[in-house]
Amino acid sequence: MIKKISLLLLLIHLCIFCFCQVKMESGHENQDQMIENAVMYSDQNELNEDAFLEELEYYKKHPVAVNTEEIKKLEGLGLFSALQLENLNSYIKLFGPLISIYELQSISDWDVSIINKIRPYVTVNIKNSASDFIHDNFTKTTNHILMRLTQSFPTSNGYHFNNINNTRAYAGSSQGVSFKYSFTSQKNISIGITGDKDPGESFFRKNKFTGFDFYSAFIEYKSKRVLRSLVLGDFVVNMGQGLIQWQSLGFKKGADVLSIKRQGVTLKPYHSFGENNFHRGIGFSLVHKNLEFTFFGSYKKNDGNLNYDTLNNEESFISAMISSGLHRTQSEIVNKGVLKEFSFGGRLVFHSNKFLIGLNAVHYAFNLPLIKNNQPYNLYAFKGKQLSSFSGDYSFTKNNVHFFGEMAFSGNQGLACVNGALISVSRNIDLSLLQRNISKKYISLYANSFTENTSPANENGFYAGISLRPNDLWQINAYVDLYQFPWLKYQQNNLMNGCDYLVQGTYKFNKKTSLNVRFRSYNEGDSYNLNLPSLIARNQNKKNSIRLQTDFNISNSLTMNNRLELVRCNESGRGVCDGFLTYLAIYYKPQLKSYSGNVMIFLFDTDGYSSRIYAHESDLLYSFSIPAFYGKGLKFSANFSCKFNKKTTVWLKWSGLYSIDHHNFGSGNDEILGSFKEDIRAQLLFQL
Amino acid sequence: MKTTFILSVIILNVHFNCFSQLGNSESESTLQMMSTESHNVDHSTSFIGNQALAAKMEKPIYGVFSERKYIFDGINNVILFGGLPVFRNYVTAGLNFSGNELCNQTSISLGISKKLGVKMDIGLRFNYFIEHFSGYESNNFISADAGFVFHLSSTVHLGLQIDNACTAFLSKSGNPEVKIPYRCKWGLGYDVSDQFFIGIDFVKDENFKINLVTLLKYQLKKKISIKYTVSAIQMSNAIGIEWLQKKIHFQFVCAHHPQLGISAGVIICSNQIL
Repeated sequence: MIKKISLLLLLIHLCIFCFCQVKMESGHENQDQMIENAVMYSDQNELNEDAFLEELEYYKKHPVAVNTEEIKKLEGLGLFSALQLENLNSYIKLFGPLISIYELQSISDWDVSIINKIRPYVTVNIKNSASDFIHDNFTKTTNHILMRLTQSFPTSNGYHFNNINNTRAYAGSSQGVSFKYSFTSQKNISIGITGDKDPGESFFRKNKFTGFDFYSAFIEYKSKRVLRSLVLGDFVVNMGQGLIQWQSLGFKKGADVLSIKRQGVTLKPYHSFGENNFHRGIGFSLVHKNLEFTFFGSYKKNDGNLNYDTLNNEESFISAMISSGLHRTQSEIVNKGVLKEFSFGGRLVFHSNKFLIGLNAVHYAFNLPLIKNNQPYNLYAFKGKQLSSFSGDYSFTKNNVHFFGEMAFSGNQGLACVNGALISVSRNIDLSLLQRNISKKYISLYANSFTENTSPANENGFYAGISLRPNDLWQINAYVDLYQFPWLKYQQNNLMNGCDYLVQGTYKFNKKTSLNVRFRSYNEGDSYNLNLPSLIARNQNKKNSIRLQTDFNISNSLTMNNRLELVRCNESGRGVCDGFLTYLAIYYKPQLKSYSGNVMIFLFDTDGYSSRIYAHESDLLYSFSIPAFYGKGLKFSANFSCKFNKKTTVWLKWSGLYSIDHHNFGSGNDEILGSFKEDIRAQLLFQL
Repeated sequence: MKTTFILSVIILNVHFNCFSQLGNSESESTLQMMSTESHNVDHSTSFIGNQALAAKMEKPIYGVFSERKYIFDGINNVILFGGLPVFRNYVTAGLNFSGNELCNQTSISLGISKKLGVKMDIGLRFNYFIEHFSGYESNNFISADAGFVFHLSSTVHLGLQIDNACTAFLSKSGNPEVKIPYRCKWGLGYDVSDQFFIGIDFVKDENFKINLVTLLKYQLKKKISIKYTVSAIQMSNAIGIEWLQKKIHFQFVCAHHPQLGISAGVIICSNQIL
C-alpha cells in the first residue's frame, strides 16, 4: 500500500515540477498523433498529406500479404521500424511463411501493440500472383469519385465589398470545392485526377474557364518485370534519408522513438490537394536482380515573390518561394506560377538480404534567380538559378543492430550527413540513435530529413531514444535530442544550441483502456561565442509541457478520448506564458450499422501564440485537422457519416469556435468580426 | 492504513509548501468538491463539484451548506440544495448566495444527471446569476455547466467538469464586458481500498494559473470519515470531518489560506451517507 501511495505522490511531484520551470506533450503514438507531430515541426496549421491517410485507408480495404515483398509497401507509414521489418524477413526465411498473424509475436521486436497497429493493413494469405492481366485489371478495379465542399460563417473581410471603390479583395466565393477521381486496378494501373479551389479563389468565372484553381493528374503503371513502375503526370520522389529529396510525409521527433529512419517507396504518384511539394513530368523505376534504378524529369511552375529591379534595369528575381497555394487576391494571382522549375534526378540502389547501398542525384534549374533578402541569416541561403545535389545512402543489419545513413553534397560545397542505428537490446528494450551533421552551407529543396529544423540545413545534433516494455501493462518511451545551429536562423540573432527531451508512460488498464502521461521539455538558446561582436543578443527559449490522455471504450459502440495538456513557455524578452487545453471526444460507431459519428469539445486558454497547443480534431475521411489553439475559447465539433449503399457514402462536419476574450478572428483580409465562427464541411464518395 | 493516510497528508503538505507562492487561484477549497469521488461511498453533496456525480444517487436529498470565508464579517456563503430521482435520471436544484448586502452574487441552478451504462455518467446544469453591486449596477447572466465521469476501471475514475464556459449577459443596463469566469476541472480518482480514496484535480479558473488540488479521504469508522485537501498553487489546506447521525449527514469543514486566513463551514443534509 505504501508503494502505491508513494507512486501517486511521485506522479503529483512530477506534475508540479513541470510548472516550476518550463515546456510540452504525450499519448499513444497512433497515426493522428504522428501527423500532429509533423504539423508541430512544420509550424503550419495544416499539411497537405491526405495521401498518407488515403494510403492507410486503401490498405485497410486491400491488406498486403505479410509473407511477401508486398509488406514493404507499408514502409513509411510509421507502422513498424526498419529493424522489425528485417527481423520479419529473417524469420520468414528461417521458418517459412507465417500461418497466422499472431505468429508475429514470436518474432524478435514484435509485440502485441505493434501487431495491433498493423493488423488492419496486413493478411497472411498469399495472393495468387499468376492471375492473368485481364483478371487483375478489369475485374479487380475500383473507381472512386470524391467531392468536398467547405464553407465558413461569417465570411471574412476579404469577401466584403469596399465602400470606396465597390471592389473586394478576394476574387472568388467563400466556398472551398475539391474533387478527386481515382481508378485503381489492384495490380497494374492506376489513374488519378484532382481539382481544388480554395476559399476565395475564383471558380468558373468569366475569364476563368479552367474551373478549379489547381489541377493534378497522374497515370501509373506497375509490373513485376524490369520496368517496375512508370508514372506520368504528378509524382513524389523519396531518396535515402531525405537529405536531398523527400516529398512524402516524414515523421520527426515524437513518442514513437523508433521511427527515426526514413523509409518508403522511391517513386510514388501524387494525389493530394497540396499545390507545391511534388514533381510534374515522368518518372520510372527499373529493377534487375539486386539493382534498382529510378529516374525522373519534371517541369512545373511554382509561386514566387516576384521582384523587379527597375533602378538598375536588371533582371527580375524571386525573393521567396510561396507554398501557401492560395490565389485569392490580386497580388497572390500575380505571383502564381512565375517561377518555372525544371528538374531531373535519379537513384541507383543495390540491395541484398541485409544490405542496401544507394547513389542519388538531383538537379534543379529555374527561369529566374532566387535571391533572398539581404539579412545575416540568409547569408548561406540558396542564390541563383541552378542547384545540384548528390548523395549516397546505406543501410545494413548486423546481429540485432540496424544501421542506416546518408551523406550528401550540394552544389555550393555544402556537406551533410546523417547516421543512425536501431538496436534491439532485449525483447523489452529498444534503442534508437541518430547523429546528424549538416553544414551551414548545405542547401536542399524538397528535402525532409530527421532534423530539428523544418528542412535539413545548418544543424548538428545527436538524438537518442529508448523504448521500454517492462510488462504487458506498461510502456515507457523517452528520447533526448541535443543540437546546435552553426549559423543564424530566422528570428534568431545569435548562434543557438538546444536540448529537447520527452518521457512518455502508457499504462493499459485492459485491452481497450489506457492512461498516458507525457512530459516534454524544449530548451533552446544558450548562445555560444563565434567572435561576432555585433551579435551579442542572448536568447533563451524554454517550453515545458505535460499531457495526460485517456482512451477508453465505454461500450461496443462508444469510445471516449480525453486529454489535458498544460504548457509553460519562457521566451527571451516575452516572459512566462502558460497554456491550457482540455478536450473530450466521444465516438459512436454502432456495429453492423451504416452510420457513425463523433462529437468533440475543446476548452483552451493560453497567454499567447507562443504557448499555443496543437490537438487533433476529427475530420472527414482522407483529411485531417490539427489546429493550433491559442487565446481563450471553446470549440465544438461534430462529425457524421452515413453509407447509403455499397457505392455512396456521405460525411458531414460542423465545427464552431467561440472566443471568450476576443471579438474578432484573424487580421487583414482574413479578419472575421464577432466572437463566434463556424465551419461546415461536406463530402461525398462514390465507389464504382 | 491510518498510518498511510497520515503519512500521505504530511508528505503532501511539506511538498506543496515548496510551491506555495506561485500564484493565487480561488477554488472550492472549503467545500472539498472534486471532479471525481470514491465509487465505494454515496456522496450527497458531490454534484456541486461535478454534476455527473449525481447520476449514481437514487434517493431524494435536501440540505444546506453555510460558510464564513476567512472569518470576515462581510463574506458569507450559503448554498441550499436538493435532488430527486426522475425517470432514471437525477434532477438537482441549488440556490447559492455569497457576499453581503452591498456586494453579492446569487445563483439559481437546475441540473440533470444520467448514467450511460456502467462506465460513464454525464450531467448538465443551467445557472442563473444575479450580481449586485450597491450604488453601481446589477448584472444578470445565464450559463451552462457540463460534467462527465468515466469509470476507467473499478478503482480508477476520470472526471471532467466545465463550468460557465458559455455565458449570456441578460441585463438591459450594466457593462456587457462583465462576465462569469469559466472553470474547468480535470481529475483522476483512485480507490486505494474500501476505506481510502485519493483524488487529483487540475483546476483552471479563468484569469488564474492552473491549480492542482489533491484530496485524501479516509473512512475511520463505518459512520465517520475524514477528508483532507491541499491546493498546490495557493497552498491552502482544508480538512473536513463527516459523520452520519441517523439519516442526517453532518460535515464540518475548515480551510486555511496562508495569506487570507481561516474559513469555516458546515453541511447538513439528508440521505444515507458513508
